Amino acid sequence: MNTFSSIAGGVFLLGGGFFIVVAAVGVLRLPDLYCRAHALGKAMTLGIISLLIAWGLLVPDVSWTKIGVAILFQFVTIPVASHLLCLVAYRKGVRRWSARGYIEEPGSADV
Amino acid sequence: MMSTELGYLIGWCLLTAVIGVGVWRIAKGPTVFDRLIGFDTAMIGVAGMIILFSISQQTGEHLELIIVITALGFFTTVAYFYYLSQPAGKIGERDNGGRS
Repeated sequence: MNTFSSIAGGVFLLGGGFFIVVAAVGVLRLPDLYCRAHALGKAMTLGIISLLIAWGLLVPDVSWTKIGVAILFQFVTIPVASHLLCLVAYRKGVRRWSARGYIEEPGSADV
Repeated sequence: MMSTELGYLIGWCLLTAVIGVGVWRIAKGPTVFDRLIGFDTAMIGVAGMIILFSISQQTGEHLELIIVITALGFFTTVAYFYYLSQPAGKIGERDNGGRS
């Protein structure tokens, strides 16, 4: 392992951990279902992809093809799940947050 | 070498906190969708823990486990949303509840 891949792997590892923690703070603190789904779908995907790239850079005997397949899988599944969650929640009429307070949909149901 | 172990320890603590956030959101969430967000968060935290363990052990044997865990979380989420998106009359418990 040369110096460049070690340094780049460390940078990717720190970045991935940072973005996963940012996504967790968003899931913990944001006021609304849709905001939480946005935090999960974007920041969590970026963090887990950075961790996978760091794995490929730091460990010599792992194949980049499998890393690519895993990255593609994360890149497909997490945003699709987040989008599907927002779609079903919007059809069910879950309330939305705005700066003036919560917006209740007309056909609101207790889910 | 000492700073490397300290970095791994900080990473373990952060990923444990991420899984704790997911479990807290499962317990707290007002709607069932919030609980599913918490489930996804905990699942991705477990995947990150597997990646961090593999980097700290310098091994590449757990890569299929990442794909399997991601597929399990995704299919669980999709199946539950398919159940939730059915109209209320088709769900068996609610259909039975009003009559007998």
